[in-house]
Amino acid sequence: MRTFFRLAFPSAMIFGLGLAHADVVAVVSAKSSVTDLTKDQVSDIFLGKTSTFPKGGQAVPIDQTGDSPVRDEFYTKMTGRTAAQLKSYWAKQTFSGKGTPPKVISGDAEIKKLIAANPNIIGYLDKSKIDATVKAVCAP
Amino acid sequence: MKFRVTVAAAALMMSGIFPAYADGLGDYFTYSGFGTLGAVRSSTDEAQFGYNRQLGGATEGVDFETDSDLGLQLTGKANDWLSATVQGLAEKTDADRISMAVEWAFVKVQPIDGLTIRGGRMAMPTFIVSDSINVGYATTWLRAPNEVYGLAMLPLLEGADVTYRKSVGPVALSVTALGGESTLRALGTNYEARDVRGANLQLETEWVTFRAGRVETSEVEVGGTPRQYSFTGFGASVDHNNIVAQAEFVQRRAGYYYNIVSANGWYLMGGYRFGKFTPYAIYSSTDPQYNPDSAPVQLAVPLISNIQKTVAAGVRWDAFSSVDFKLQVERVNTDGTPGISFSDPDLAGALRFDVPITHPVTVVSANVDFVF
Repeated sequence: MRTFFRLAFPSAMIFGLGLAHADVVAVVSAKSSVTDLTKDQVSDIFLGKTSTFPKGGQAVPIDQTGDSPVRDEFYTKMTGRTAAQLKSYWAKQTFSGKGTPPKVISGDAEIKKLIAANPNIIGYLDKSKIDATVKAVCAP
Repeated sequence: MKFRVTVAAAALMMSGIFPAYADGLGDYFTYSGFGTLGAVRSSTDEAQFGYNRQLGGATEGVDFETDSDLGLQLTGKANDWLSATVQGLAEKTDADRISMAVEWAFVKVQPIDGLTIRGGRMAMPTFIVSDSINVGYATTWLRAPNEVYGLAMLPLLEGADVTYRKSVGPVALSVTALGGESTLRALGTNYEARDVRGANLQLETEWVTFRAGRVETSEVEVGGTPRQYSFTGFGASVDHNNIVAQAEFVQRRAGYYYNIVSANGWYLMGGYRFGKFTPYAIYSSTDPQYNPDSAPVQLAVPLISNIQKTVAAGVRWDAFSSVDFKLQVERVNTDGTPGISFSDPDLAGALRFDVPITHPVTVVSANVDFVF
């Protein structure tokens, strides 16, 4: 029994840390009429497969920087692609003239400012960073 | 060559009309590039190993020209529905040296969501990866299997294509129709191909893509007589969790020159991603097709279709962001024929591509791919 605790306790802690991972959500301006989006819809917008929201209106995705803690999690959960797969996907799209990756914006504050000001822009943030200017439309 | 320069000049002028500032999202120029530095060594001195009908290539000495290339691409985006793309590519083609050419120069219009119309010069959609085939960084393998990708004889389209893309639930369907002109390259000679038509159908889900397509022309100008040529292909590719797999089957056909040109090709590629390392294996095969009714023609000209089978194993290592390293070892068996990957630039005319390879050949290649 004691052995069990000794083994189970640290692994529970490690598991707990895994769960404490950032909770990433897709966000739009509080002024936007967009409400709920599915994972597939968000994925299509961020992979450049569509340039409009499902109910109409131009959709312009913006990206976090490569070292952002939420970026990998967002793409893994929304699109099922790892960072390496995504890089290779965009190389393919860019050099076949099909599209270019979303514009990269540095920092949660700047991202929030851009989204709040323009209902066409969609981005992603850690859930804890949401305030009254923006709203979550998809939590994977 | 003159035409190439004209296209480049027109494209540059065209891109000049787009605003060259970057205020706000959507209005901007993007400049990007890709490249490969590759070394290849083969186990034979009977002829030189290349791919995609290159003249000359690797022998028992190390060759750096076969796989190396450098591409630069400029995209000007006027607004959310109008853009122009120019891509210049330096690579070795059938001239036995690296040369620079304007690979693409097209204007793209997206009048409504899902509909794309392009006009200008662009890649012919012959395969599952036609338009990024020169971008080593975008593919798992070190180089596309020549038994299939080396068969296409109309690499570029000068004309227009229309693509409609529609998502139905988790499936994205896209249909393309194309028309225009091209240049057919065979045994080191170029032939004008007019009235080129084609269609392409693609079904895509989150982890699997299916593709079927055909390109044809009845107007390849050979010795003043129009000749018929067609290329049909089917393919599937899977990228799920850590599994990557891809397979294609293609049919190259000609009317009058049936027995010189006609061939079937196929390959099967499978790989598994272990973090930054992706080991893979490919089996690929070309089988010439024969029609007894066209037999007499066969005696006059060397065959373009020969037997060739390759077993390849390799690994892709995603060493840094935007840089990968690849290593590939392959065993190429031509069954005593000249195959389709070998040539000898020291011979004359079509004979340069007609050297029998008597033994199976081992080829070792190492590449560094990068994008910027």
